[in-house]
Amino acid sequence: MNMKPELLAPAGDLDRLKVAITYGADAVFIGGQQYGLRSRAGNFTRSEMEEAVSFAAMHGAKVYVAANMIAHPGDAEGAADFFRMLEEIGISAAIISDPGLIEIARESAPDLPIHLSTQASTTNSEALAFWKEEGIERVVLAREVSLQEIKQMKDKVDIELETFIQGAMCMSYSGRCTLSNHMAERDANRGGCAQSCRWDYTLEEQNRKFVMGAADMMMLRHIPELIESGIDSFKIEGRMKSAYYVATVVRIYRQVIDRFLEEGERFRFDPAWEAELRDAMTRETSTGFYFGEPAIADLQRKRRARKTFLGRVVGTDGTAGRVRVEPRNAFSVGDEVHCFGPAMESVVLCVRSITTLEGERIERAATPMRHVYVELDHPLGEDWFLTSKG
Amino acid sequence: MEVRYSVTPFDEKQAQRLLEAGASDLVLGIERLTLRSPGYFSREEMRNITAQAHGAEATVTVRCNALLDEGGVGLFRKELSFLEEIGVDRLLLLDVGAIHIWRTSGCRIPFYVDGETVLTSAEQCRFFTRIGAQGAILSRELTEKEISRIKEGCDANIMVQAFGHTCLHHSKRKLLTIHGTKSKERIREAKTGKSYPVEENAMGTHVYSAEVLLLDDRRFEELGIEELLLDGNAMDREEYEYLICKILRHELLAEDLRTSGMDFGTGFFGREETVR
Repeated sequence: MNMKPELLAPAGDLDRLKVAITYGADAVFIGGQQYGLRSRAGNFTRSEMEEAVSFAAMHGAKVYVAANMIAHPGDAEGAADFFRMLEEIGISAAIISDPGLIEIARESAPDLPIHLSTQASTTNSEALAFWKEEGIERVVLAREVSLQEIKQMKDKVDIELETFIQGAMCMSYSGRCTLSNHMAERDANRGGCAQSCRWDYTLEEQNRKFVMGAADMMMLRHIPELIESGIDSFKIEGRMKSAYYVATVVRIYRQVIDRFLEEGERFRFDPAWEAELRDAMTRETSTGFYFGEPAIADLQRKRRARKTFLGRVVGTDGTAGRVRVEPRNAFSVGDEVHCFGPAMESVVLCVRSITTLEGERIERAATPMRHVYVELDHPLGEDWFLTSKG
Repeated sequence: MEVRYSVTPFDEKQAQRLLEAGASDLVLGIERLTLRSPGYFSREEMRNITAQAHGAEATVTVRCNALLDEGGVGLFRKELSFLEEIGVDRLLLLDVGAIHIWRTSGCRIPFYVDGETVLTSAEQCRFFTRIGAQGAILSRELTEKEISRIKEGCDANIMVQAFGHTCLHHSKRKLLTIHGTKSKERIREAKTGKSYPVEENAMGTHVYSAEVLLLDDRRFEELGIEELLLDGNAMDREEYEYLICKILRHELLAEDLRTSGMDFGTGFFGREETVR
């Protein structure tokens, strides 16, 4: 009998946290105002964290806080208060990589579980045994381990394992890159990564391109193998990604996981899932190190997302088929739009009319964020997303 | 207090010459257990070098600072007993898996934690001394002030890289092989035009700093730092030996630096403020 893994989604802010949970995430990871690695994400204040925990609890989900920066002298001042605060408000775990911060968290907030961040580059069973003895509840493995190694490690040490299944990847072992420090004056290990690996380089003697950026990870097709390997938590990368991206990714992975667990040997992968996921992605994809050493095809190649994010339903006015939409890209009366919500199926609907909040009928919603009422030939709920048909 | 110089010979003969020039410590690499090293040594060579070093009242440090995979775990366990048998003086360990093996095997060779980019605070040093480390090699991305605060905040022996290219990026991917080129190259960044050495080995790909770090050892005496690493990664063997022998004999002149054709700098150590 296969164990149901946790589907863990990123949440850059409260809105995206609610979207992730509504669309099926079992847990979300967020950043606090300090100690995280995404200084440019909309990190959570204490009151936002409290609201997040309360919303998650209502939906049976968990909230983890990433505190995975590598501290320099002075950075750890205040860390004990920070971890105590996480413990007080009921955060399910702190994700940490710096051993100094782990020590502080353990001493100041003994009831706050600690997940070891992927930044700690854990690649073998002896390291798992070490962290287990140190009281770590879960280890987020380095992206450089293969599926076969994961199985071996899982067999040898009884500790929760979390691995990345979707999203952008560091070209280096995470944390073992300071290109950004040297090239952009921003500390990669303190939230300032400038993604210098994705800049343009040439091999000097040969004067030809040298690619250091990685393709994005996508493990959708391999969910059955990942579940069978006993991995406890499947992590989606992307605290900087939009609510639309989070909703798309969580919804599709949720479908595949649930369908496989329900159908077992009868399960058949539907290529439409992958097509829909790809439509929201802007880079080519790879399975990273899961099945062996990455090759040239696993390097960064940009692609245009096939679907354009048109808008999000933010409310209704009680009129059947009419919803209030927050536009992101232009759409017009008569357009056929792809709509999806937390439920499994998506639909293609025709835009029957567009009306401003002041009641003026218009042909085209062209101003991003200026709410409009949209009449469609099917009722939609709040937090549904509208995209182009692709 | 006398500063000790740890040097990284490219081969056995050079190890001998560096000892003659006054090296206090030879740092050796083992192909599948060392992240990167100018020289990788067989068991026989390590045995000989250890005997020679001890004869010259110097020590031998073996860098076992790889991130181990499941295969590497077994190899490290085997190698550990051999290193103990030949009387190696110190290990450099990075992977806590390696530290766990060290601890559970009852190994008596002292170790320093070699955290590379992620060893940046006194709190971390205290963590590693609690689990058995005698000392720590700090990240190169620290200012002099930060190093001073770390030194004051922990009891660990502190080692700092004071010479050589520093590694900025380590990928497990074989990026040079993937690009169909040789295992040592230079890459140029388009916007600044700066050129960086890149090397590939069994552990993956390593991108090094454009400049060669060269720090004044008198600064370290004031900070109470006892051990300096003079690293030869990504350098030409003869150039390394020439400059290191000069440093060890306290004969390095501005003229030597000029004629080497290399760009020297003080890296993050020389900065007033830390990069955030």
